[in-house]
Amino acid sequence: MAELRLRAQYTKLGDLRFTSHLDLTRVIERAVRRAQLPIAYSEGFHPKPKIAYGPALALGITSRVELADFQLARPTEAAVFQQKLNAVLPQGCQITKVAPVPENEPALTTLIDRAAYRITVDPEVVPSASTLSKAVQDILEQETVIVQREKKGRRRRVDIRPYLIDLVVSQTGEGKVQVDALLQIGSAGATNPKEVLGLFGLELAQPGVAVERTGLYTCANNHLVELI
Amino acid sequence: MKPEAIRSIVQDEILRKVTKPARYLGSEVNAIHKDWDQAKVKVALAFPDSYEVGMSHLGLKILYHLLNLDEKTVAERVFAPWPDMEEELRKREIPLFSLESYRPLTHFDLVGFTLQYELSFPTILNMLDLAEIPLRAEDRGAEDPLVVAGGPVAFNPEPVAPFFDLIVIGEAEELLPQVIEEYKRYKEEGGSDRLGLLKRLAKNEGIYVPAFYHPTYKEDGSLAGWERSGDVPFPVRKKVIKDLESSFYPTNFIVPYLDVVHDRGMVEVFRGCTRGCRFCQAGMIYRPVRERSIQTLTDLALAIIDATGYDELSLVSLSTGDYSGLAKLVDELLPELSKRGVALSLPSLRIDSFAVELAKKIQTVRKTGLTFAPEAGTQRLRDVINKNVTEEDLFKAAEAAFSAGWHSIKLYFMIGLPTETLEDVEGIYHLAKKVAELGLKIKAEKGIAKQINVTASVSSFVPKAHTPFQWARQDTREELRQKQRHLAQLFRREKYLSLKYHDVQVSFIEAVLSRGDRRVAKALEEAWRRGAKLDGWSEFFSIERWEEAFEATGVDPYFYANRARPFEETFPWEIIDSGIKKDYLLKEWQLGLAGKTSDDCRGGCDGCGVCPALKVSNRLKHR
Ligand code: SF4
Repeated sequence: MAELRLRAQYTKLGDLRFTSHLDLTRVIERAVRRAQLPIAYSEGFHPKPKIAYGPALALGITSRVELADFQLARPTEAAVFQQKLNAVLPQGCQITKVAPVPENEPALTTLIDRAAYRITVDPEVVPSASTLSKAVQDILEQETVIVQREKKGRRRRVDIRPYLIDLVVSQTGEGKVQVDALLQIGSAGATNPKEVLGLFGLELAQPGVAVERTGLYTCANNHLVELI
Repeated sequence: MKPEAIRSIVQDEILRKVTKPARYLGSEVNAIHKDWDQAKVKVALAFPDSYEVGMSHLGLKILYHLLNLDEKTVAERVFAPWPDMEEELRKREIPLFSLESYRPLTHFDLVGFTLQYELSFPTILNMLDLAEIPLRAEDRGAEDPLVVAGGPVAFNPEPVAPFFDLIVIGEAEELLPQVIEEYKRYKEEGGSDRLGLLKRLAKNEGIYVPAFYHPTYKEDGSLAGWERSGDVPFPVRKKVIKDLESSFYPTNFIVPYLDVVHDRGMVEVFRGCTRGCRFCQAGMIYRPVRERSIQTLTDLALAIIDATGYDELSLVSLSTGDYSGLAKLVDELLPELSKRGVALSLPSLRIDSFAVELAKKIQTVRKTGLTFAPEAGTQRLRDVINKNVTEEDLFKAAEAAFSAGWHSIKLYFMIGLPTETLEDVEGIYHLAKKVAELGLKIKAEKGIAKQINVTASVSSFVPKAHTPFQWARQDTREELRQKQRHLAQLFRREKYLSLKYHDVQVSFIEAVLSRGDRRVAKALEEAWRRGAKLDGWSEFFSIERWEEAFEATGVDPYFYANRARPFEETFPWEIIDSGIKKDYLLKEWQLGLAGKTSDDCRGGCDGCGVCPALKVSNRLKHR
């Protein structure tokens, strides 16, 4: 079936992890033009292709679950769309799934309010799971978890405890420690992997620390719902 | 160091720490990754500035794709690492590497630097140092790459001559492939007779091997001439493409991840300019004009969009408004580009209402600010510099622009031009003010709500080599500062006017470096040793470093920048023959001093000498 609005799930891996969200949107827009897909354009002096992206992913984090909605000028089949776009997209950014979206569905950034991340730490940085397990237990037992945020040079203290939905620690076969974090994101209040790492005294830019986004969801009646 | 080792350290340890890591990836769409072992000649194309500046430079892109056409040649890119990256590399002793294969520059046969502006000289030295290549050609051996330079600034190569094994003069598309062919032969013959290779190369038109030329000086410090070792040509004549239409032009441009300075597709409409502005080096050294046809340009434009996916296409040249088929070209391109959601941009428009008409047409796709370059504030001074634009032209263009809905106009000017008086300086203010008043009148008539703004952007004149103004002195820094202060005072009270001007210190160093002889090289090296690099960036430029370097090396900067040069003086850049006769430049200098203009040679030859000397002619495609 040919559709006018398509949702695509895509990856941000390899070299692409060193690009910003804005860079990535340019990569995708240019690929759409190279693929000569019939994308719709906005009106006005600066016509922009009608592509609505999911929540931005910080530079340095990989993902296999990024989402974007494409508004098309002519009905296009999902399979054709995926195949044409993948042929011109760079290696690290490949579309893994395409599905139609109802015309009246709200924007991805409105829908999405949960994100899952997997933090993987080398044994040189954190030797065993138990250290982190202890830290996680402490955090989850607290009623408030205060972090410092800086915006335009102004510091602010924020309680992120309500946004730490779940933290689970495990150990991989290779002796690496993993933290699976489910976080609240979106306009109703959010935290991010950088702040979570900070709770453990770790940094996003630190060698031996890798972060991947593993899921984007909308939360309905305490259930996580996938968007594709 | 092995490329794999460099890659893993850089990607795993460094890139997440530095700003804009996408500068260092080399995996952009359309980047070319060739089989290293299959290649006979490996070339690193080096740009002595940041990735964002270098990736905006058309010449580098043309060469990259041209050289890579040859199966036996690998061409890769390298830019100046940003200081945070440099620090990480130096800390780990990682040598400067190419973006595509992460190979140290010492693994390449040739390292070619583009010389676009003088302030990038210290960055060249810094890059050589980071690459662990000896700075001076005389210290390099058979194991080291040949370090090559080219580009417009190479037309006075002397201040950087000791750092290069060879310098190509003219259009590198013609020259580099020739160098590569000679290099292949050299390698087939065993690749050990470096001197023999240089000797062979030096015989070619457009190739300058500084080691074979030894400048001598008179007692008064001026240049006496050059002693030559062996049978090498003198002067070295530039080489040009005769027919641009049939010359190579790429369409599969690399598409950067980052937002670079000029992040768009570019089609070169023509090369050269014949307007004859007396201060303009590009207008002299790129002569004559050679155009591409509308058909070729349209084909190229669409092929570039298909291959890159850019949302903007720019028609570039020294003065795109002068293209003989411009109106038709725009009419053909616009609908095709709009269909693809692509905007068209026309930099370097002329000052006339036709230009505004065009700008109006293309704003159907995108609206950008309008810029005009009257260059001087009074008619008298515009005649001196041969900028054939009247106040009337400017007002008509401005009127058309305001009526068409633009509310902000930028005007480019220079201060410190030969014969300039206080009246000329004030003329900048008066002209800007009149344009703003015109805008206010039209705004009132049309009931436009937007605030009118006229910005005067004022740079300081640098007398450049190979131009009619090469005999002129640069105003001292104090003179320039006074003029700037005077302007600032006039502009201060004006609500609708803004003023921007350049740092006089930067213009002063630019003058020393562009007018210098080979003795300036040691001051340059000293400035680099004291930390000069990325001097085109105001946050890194420091005049103290340069002053100290001049002091320490006994180089007198005023001798080069602020001294009017007598007619009989031999210039350092006379080692290079741009094809233009010195007599012609002198005649133009005298006409200028007398306030007399000259015509654009499209209408009839002015006798500059380029066409007969290089056996070329102006090639206009549509008349
Ligand atoms: S030789 Fe004549 S036609 Fe050719 S560039 Fe010079 S002035 Fe123009």
